[in-house]
Amino acid sequence: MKKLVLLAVTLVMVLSLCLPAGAEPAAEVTKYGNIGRLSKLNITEDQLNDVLKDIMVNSICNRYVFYDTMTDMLMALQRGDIVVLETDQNTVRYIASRNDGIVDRPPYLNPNNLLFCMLLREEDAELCDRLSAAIAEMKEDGTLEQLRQRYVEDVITGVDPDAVEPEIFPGAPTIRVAVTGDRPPMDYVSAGGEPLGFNTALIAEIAKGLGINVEFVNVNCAARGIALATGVCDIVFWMEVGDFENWEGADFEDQPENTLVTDPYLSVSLWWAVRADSPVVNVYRDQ
Amino acid sequence: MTLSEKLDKILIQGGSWKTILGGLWVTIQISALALVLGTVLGALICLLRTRKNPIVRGIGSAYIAILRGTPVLMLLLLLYYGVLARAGIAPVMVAVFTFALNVSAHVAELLRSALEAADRGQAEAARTLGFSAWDTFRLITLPQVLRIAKPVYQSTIVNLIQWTSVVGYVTITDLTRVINNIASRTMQPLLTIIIGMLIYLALSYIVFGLFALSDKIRMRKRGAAA
Repeated sequence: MKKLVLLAVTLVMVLSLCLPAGAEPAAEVTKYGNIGRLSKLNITEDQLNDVLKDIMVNSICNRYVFYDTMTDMLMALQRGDIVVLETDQNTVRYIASRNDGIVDRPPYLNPNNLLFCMLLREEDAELCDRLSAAIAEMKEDGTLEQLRQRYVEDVITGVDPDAVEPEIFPGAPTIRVAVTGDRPPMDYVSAGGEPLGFNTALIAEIAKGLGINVEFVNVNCAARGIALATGVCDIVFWMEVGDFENWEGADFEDQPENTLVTDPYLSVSLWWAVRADSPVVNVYRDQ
Repeated sequence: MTLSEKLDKILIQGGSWKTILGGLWVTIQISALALVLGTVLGALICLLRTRKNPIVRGIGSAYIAILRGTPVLMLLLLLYYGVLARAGIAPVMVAVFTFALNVSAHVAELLRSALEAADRGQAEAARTLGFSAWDTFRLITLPQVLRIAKPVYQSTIVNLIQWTSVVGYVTITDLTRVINNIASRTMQPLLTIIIGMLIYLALSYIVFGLFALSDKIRMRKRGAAA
């Protein structure tokens, strides 16, 4: 009898060790695979997954995977490493409009907005304020909406605009702006090799109003942080999930240290690109 | 979209081929300049590495160990964003300098092994026959070293061309960067990358072809002399 009790106790101990702490019954949500995102500036893949772990329980995806370039992420989607490519709705629409095999869908859970802003070094506070003021002015007078129509909506429907040519102001200071060429229609490079996109057009327009020169620097997406910190460029475009109306005072975890952020100039929904033949598409059909 | 339409979009529309050629030219410039500079530097390091003085030899060994043992991308980032950040040097020149440093370590090591593999007996015989040290090196040792080192040197050049594909990290628009930009714009990554690979492959085979041609010319000259 003693031996039987001992055996039972041992079995219970072994089983309790094998099961993860706090293990719950398997979630009912079917998981289809991982979800891809472009690398963040100041948050690692593991940190993001840790922050979102409670939300991901009810998601149809397992975890986030970071990619340095849109090309890498698109290839990963096409070969099945990820089942969802998550980015701003404009970029997803652009991808879907140029790929027969890819469709765009709203996120399965937690619809969020991405705020598009500019990052500057801390010592450039004055420039940051001037940029924010110019953005506010452009929102007011409708210039921002005109640019959005021309450089986002028209581009998605297949009308390519001319390359952006910033005005030259002799003797005026020059700001160096990082372009990655990796997020059409917001930031991409034309067939002729010139920087193009909404971001580029926006900064050219702002510089025109402020009477300063703009120089575009082609920076690898993954090297934006280091390029800003070391003075290779003065401005990088950046986006973060947030509330467009009440963004001030928000704690942007991805914002690198010693940087300032301008007022957001655009708010775009976070959106999903999925393969047309993916089972994820059926999830929406079932809804 | 048919394949020809995709190719048209990637290669032709908007003068895309000119941008690709521009990127290719940057890759060739960086590779060629780094090779010339790296080879000269490598020969000097080899000289240090083969000295009898242990301190001088140690400096040569340490140089080779550090540069061969670290990724060239790290060196590029260190020099561009760190050491030379405020020097006002053009990114292309920083890249040339970085790759020259990296190649020099490889060249130094391959020259040293070629020197060790050369027949010492012939050099000794030349000295016995009254050749000066310089003439012995120029006429006896150097031709052997070059012949032995040639196949590895050829691979080093091809490797160098491939290594330069990381220069996009320091704001340079080389062939890889142009291919990435086109892939992002057209949203046809697979086909665009295949085209990029074919261009790199062609570049490598041009290098192999030039070496094969030089071999052929040498054999022909030798045949004519005989």
